[in-house]
Amino acid sequence: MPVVLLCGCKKYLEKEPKKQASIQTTDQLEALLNNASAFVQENDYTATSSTDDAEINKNDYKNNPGQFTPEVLYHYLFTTDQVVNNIAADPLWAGEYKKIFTANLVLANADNVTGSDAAKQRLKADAHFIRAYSYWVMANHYCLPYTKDNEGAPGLPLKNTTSYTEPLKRATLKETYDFILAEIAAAQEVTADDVDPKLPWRISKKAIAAFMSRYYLFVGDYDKSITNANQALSTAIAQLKDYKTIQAGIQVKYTNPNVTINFSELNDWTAVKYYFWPEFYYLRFTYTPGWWFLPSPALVSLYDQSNDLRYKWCMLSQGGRYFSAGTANMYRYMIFQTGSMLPSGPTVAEVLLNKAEALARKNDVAGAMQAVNILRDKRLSSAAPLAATMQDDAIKKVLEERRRELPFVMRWYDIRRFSVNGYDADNISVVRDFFQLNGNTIDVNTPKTYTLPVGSKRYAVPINGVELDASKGQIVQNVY
Amino acid sequence: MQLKAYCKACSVQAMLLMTAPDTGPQPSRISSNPFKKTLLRLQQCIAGRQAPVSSQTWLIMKLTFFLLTAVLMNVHARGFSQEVTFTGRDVPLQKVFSAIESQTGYVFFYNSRLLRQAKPVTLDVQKKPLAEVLKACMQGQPLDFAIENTTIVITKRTFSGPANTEEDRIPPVKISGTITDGKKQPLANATVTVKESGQKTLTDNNGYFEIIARTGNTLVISYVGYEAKSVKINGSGPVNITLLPSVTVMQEIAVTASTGYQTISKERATGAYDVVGRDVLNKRPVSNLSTALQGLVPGMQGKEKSDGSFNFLVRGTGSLYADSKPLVVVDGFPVSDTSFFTVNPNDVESVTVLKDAAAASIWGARSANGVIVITTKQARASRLQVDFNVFTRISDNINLNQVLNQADSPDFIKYERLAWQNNWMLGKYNGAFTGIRTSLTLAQELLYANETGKITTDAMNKGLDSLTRISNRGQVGDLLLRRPVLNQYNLSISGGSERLKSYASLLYEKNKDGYIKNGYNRYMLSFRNQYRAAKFINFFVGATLQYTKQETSGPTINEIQQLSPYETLLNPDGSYGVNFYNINREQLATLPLGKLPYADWSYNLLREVRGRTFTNEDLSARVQAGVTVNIIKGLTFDSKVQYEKRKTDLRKYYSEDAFFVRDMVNYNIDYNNTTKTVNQVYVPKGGIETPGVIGNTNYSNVTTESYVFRNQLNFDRTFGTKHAVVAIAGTEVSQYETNSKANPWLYGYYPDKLQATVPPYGYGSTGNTFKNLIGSTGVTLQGGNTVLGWEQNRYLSFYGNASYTYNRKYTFSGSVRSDASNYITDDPSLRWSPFWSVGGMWNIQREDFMNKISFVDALSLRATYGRNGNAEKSTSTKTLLNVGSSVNTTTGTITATISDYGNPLLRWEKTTTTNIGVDFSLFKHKLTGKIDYYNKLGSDIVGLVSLPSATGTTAQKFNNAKIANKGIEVSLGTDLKIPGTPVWYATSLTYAYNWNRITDLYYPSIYGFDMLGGGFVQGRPVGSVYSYTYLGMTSGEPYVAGVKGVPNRFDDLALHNRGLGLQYLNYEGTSVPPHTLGWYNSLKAFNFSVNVLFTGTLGGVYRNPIFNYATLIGSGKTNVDRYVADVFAGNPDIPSFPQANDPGTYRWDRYGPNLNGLIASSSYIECKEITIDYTLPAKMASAIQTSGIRLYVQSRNPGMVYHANDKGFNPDWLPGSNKPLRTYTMGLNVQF
Repeated sequence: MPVVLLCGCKKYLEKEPKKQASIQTTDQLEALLNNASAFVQENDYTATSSTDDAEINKNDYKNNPGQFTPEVLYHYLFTTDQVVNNIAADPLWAGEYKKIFTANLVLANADNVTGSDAAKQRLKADAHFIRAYSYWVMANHYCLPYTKDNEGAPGLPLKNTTSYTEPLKRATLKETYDFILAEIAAAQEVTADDVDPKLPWRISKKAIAAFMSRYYLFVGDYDKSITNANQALSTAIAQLKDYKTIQAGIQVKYTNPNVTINFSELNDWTAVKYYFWPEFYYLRFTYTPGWWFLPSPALVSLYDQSNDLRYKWCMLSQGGRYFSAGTANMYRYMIFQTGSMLPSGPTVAEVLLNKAEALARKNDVAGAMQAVNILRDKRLSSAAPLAATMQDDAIKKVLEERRRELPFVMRWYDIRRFSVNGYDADNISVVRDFFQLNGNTIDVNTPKTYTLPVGSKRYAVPINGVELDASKGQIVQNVY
Repeated sequence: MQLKAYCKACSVQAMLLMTAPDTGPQPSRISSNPFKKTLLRLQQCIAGRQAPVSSQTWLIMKLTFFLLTAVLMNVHARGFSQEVTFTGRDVPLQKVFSAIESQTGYVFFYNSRLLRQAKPVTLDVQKKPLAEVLKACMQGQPLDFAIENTTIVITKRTFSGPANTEEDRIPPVKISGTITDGKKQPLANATVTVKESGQKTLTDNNGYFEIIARTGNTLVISYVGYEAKSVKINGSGPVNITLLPSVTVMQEIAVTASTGYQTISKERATGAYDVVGRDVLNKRPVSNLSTALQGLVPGMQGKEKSDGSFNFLVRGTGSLYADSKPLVVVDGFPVSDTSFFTVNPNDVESVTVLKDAAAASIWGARSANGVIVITTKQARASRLQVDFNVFTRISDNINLNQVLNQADSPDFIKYERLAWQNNWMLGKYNGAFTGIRTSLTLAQELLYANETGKITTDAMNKGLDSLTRISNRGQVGDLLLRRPVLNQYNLSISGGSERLKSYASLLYEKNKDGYIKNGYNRYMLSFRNQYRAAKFINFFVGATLQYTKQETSGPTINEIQQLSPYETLLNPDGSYGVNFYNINREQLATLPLGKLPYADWSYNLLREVRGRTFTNEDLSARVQAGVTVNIIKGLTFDSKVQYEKRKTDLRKYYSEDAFFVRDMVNYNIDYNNTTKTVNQVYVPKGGIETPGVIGNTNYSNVTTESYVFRNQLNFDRTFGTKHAVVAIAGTEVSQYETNSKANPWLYGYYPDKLQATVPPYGYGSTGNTFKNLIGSTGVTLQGGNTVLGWEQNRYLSFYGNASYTYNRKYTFSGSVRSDASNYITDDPSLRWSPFWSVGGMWNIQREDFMNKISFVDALSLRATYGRNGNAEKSTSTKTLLNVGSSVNTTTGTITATISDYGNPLLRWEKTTTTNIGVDFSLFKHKLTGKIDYYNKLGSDIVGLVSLPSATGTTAQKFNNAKIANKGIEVSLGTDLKIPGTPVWYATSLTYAYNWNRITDLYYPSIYGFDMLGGGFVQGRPVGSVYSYTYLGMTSGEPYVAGVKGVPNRFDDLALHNRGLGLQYLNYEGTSVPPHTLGWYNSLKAFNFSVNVLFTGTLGGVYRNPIFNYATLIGSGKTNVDRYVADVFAGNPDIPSFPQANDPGTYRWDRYGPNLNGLIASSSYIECKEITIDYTLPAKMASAIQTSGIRLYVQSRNPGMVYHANDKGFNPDWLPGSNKPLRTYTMGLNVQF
């Protein structure tokens, strides 16, 4: 009996204790990548608070200090020490690296599991794209803008495997961008040409092109940006949503004090609906953990309040009331999920704006206006096309439209980009008129002005202190 | 017979109590007689009229003392009057003995080897005195006997010459003498018998005796534990005799310990074992075996559950994340249920606890937390014996003051008013339709109505004042609580011949919980048969079948606490009162209720409880079978198998009366609030049945199935006279499989009509979603999918051990074992782990030099060293997935998540234990005991290491920790007759000290919140308690000391969330008390016995509760806790209320409960149990055709006798917890 047991025991013990626990098939990896909620969300305090799209009125703060979390305030005032030390974790950094881990897991296993070669090719292409996208998002937060001068500046720790012992030393910025391009090249192996409307979180050639129109716009290669934009715009699936077709949602009335908020139907949607927003090439959302994007008066004033449906449905003048701030006059910018989620993945709208801007910067004023007006046609209640004759005017108008269309989502990226694109007219200096921050508490009796100057070192978001501690010195902080 | 009269009174009183528990005290009858007084107090207790805690504790002390002294003082001697009836031809002697045992209650004490030489006897005696029957049995046998109290010692006959035929001619004279032991110490109570006449006497305290005998007669002197001696009387002078300690007798009757694989004599056991025998277990009527083990085993600490059962921890916490429960073994097989639920406590013969490496290493990978081995009663070859046991356990009513921590109505409203005025709120209800889910309290409705100008301040004040006068406690007590009663009936039958022995038992238990609609019925059937097919082959088969039907529909503490204290269940007219739950009345009033599926959308807790039925049905079967083959002398082969299957069905049914149903139907509708029209109703009307919940997961049924298959060779042989070898070797294969399923919900379900309706539009899915009442889109219904679960664990083991004993003085032992499981890994060799132990024992008492040390009767020294293991099964070396068992409604695909990030460096946890023990018996066995010292070092313990999140995860388990547990365990006992009285006193005192430290743990950033939440810290014990230094209030804001004492505001969370806790938190001690005590006392006289158990824990700390300053109002049903009274009273040691409009109030709860001033010692000693029993004299028992009757009463949890904290708390059961209730048990045991 023992002899029989000895022979059989290896086999006996190979029966796994759980079903589908260890990775053995392409179906399992597909299921992993189809768990969209694990990939689509970017928890971004910088996007919420660090740009001129956001502004906290001093009096509003004084009256409702409890409405603003320390995380929001520390980012709002461009602090480094508080962001490093007084926040327990950086959800953007951790979240993107978690996506990268999953992509690495798929890449490590794709060739060893059972399944068709086509399925494996598809999985690997998706995984490479996930890595490229996440590294791009992080490079545009934690590193300086990508220029010739900054090529040697600290980039990101480039995780290629799932191993815990893989070194976490930060690569240079050039190495980081080269890695992103190499990943995109690998992702191009995808055979799907156009977006799968049932799986908008999976990639296609069109989705890659849409993203690359953004990538090249950011590195100043406007020709390639236009080429990719055109390729993306040839989609038969992704399409602009005509805001004229957006229905009113459930109106919310408050009696104490009396306030009515006219939400759009989008406010009532749950993930099962907004994951399938038709404009997406690839699904990603900017998420704010406080569920409140508070727009600045400057942003609000950009809209034609009577004609622009984006103002009507997204820019809610009394929306600050939603979580019952004591006073009712604060704005709330919202699209999905009670104002916590904004589309941030490449959309038809963004690609049109990328194209328009690239054309404008190449001094194709008419082309730029044409592209931007395709978008405006779906956003305004009655036609009001933009017109420009001069390049500067065209750039200004396109950028204003870009800010109206993509507030909070693109602004941080754009502010950084504008500082290094060799065109000074678009440079942005962000100024805060607020109160003295004493250590970690706000002194509401001492006003103070804070500035994020053009080309600030603070364009690189500090890496969280817990992360630095845990890496035991491998990850080095940005220099300020 | 003074005592008898008293005791009769006592039992009569007890009977009265049983039949009429509601009989109140009759003040006119209170006399000065303390006994009567005490009885009256006892009655009062049972009738539920309790005195305040302090006086009650006093009462318990008094009662205990009184009972102890009463029995001690009022007894008189009584002679042997036992009679025996027996008829049989050529009956084995053992059979006669067992008949005598059952008829007289006396116990035989013999060397089984001796009895093998005995011839069968033929007897026909009717009601003959015991001694006479015994004498007849010994006729012509090479045996002799002596009666020691209730023990009959059978010894080898040392003199068997022909009877003295001249005896009649020699006149009898008084012979005196002294009996001493080898060290010249007198032996008291030794039996001196004149062999020829049968005349007997006992020696006194000086070992002196006098007896009438003739010259030439033979005196036989016997004494337990000593070789009997015969001396021929040569003259009339004093006879001085020295007895020598017996070798054979003591050895053979020595206690044995069962490891589950073998039974070893404790004399040769090098390991640390504790054995709890049937004599103690039988005295403790329990529903769950773990209750009866409490306080008896040093080093086995129990965490009591509210039903009185225990989770045990043996010798401290040895693992951080792996299971720290000991392994439970029943009749040699580990059972999957570690809560002792599948064991009939009446069937248990003994329990052995294996604590050190040598004892437990034979269980290998699963033994690091200790092993509890349960041996059930085995059939014996005897006449048919029937044992019937019944008891009723009545508990105190649940005390709402204990289970709720809610403030009373005046304080509750006072706070609500204050908070409303001061705006301590976040997201206050603001009159929006979407706020329909925000129910306010009755008081806050008034405050809101006043604020919005709907009522005047006067009307509000009037309303609040009238609410202040209402308390729902009375109604809750009357309508939702009841007196808990548990009845247990157990019948066991055993008997058989040498060739076929059988034992069967049947248990029925009915439990009515203290909350209405909670309780269970439990049925359990067990049997065990042994067949001796031939001399060399034995079979056994056993089975246990259990069925439990449990109802859990009753109210929960949370549900009761969710009611404001002024919300009543019933209106004065008997209709259901207004309770608020999940519905705002103001918004409800705007709905066209007549158009909704249910016009009645009200909630009432009583109606809810009545309208629902939650049941769990549990059916389990365990079958064991085996064969033993004797191969050659001393060598046997065992093959055994156990199969277990358990099926649990869970369901929750809500009728239309339940708010749950009406709410589900009304809320899931397509509704237009502008036109007030209902467009679509998604959920059909009617009851709803859902799966039940275990932990956080839904299950309709769970099936566990397991088998263990074992083959083992045993060798036990003595070579020559000095060399004894015992060895075993074997293999074991086991598999444990769990299947679970959560069924789709039944909607529109009418059980009486046997009809259910599928939701007309389906459950909703991607592309087909619903709206709900407030207009959310993308809504899907719950319960559309079947959720499946499956898990299968396999183990393979090879093991062996051997021990060698030389000359009964020196024993050496060793064991090895290797285990493997089907744990997922790339490297199969990682599955195997070697475990081993070595040990030695020195029986010092057998050394010659010990003869000079007179007060020592037995002394031996044990030492062991070895390694056990523990598999941390929650993680793997590979990354593991959790693939959904049905399509995800959001994505419309199957989705998967990473269930474990995997760690290729993962290994088994190892625990290395050194144990040194000494066993002793001193002063003629008046003091017996043992002391063990252990040092348990856990290495490669799985600890959580924080990783940079760039690795994909922020923490992963690595084998990076080390834990040390050191301790001392002492148990002392005595079992002696109190001189000059017929009272036997036995006590067992256990004390254990455990020192626990995490000696090594790589964890670089331990934040304050983490440490306060029980995070592990290097250099500190598991369960460390930390506190903030409170600095008092400055301009309305409380402060604690931060790093270097820098004051930190309560609303500044940077310190709590991100500060390294070791820099500013005070270490206050451990929440796991290092010292534990158990003291079991037993007094026996005549047929009475009184048993009292005290338990205690010392040296730990706990946190006193404090008001939750983050109690916000206006956004739902607020619960204001009772500690708000301390803040109202202006206690300077705690913060006062926040200032008006303070936005940071909601963060105060991070610091508030953790202030240094709240820490207090958790030490307490508690009288856990008092049992009094009475055994009917055999004569009376046989007169009513039984062979034994025992009556008993018991009280559990009578109260604390000492507590270190000044609030009178039981630190294990602070207010707001379901503390085990005080219980009173009355029972009867009849044997036929």
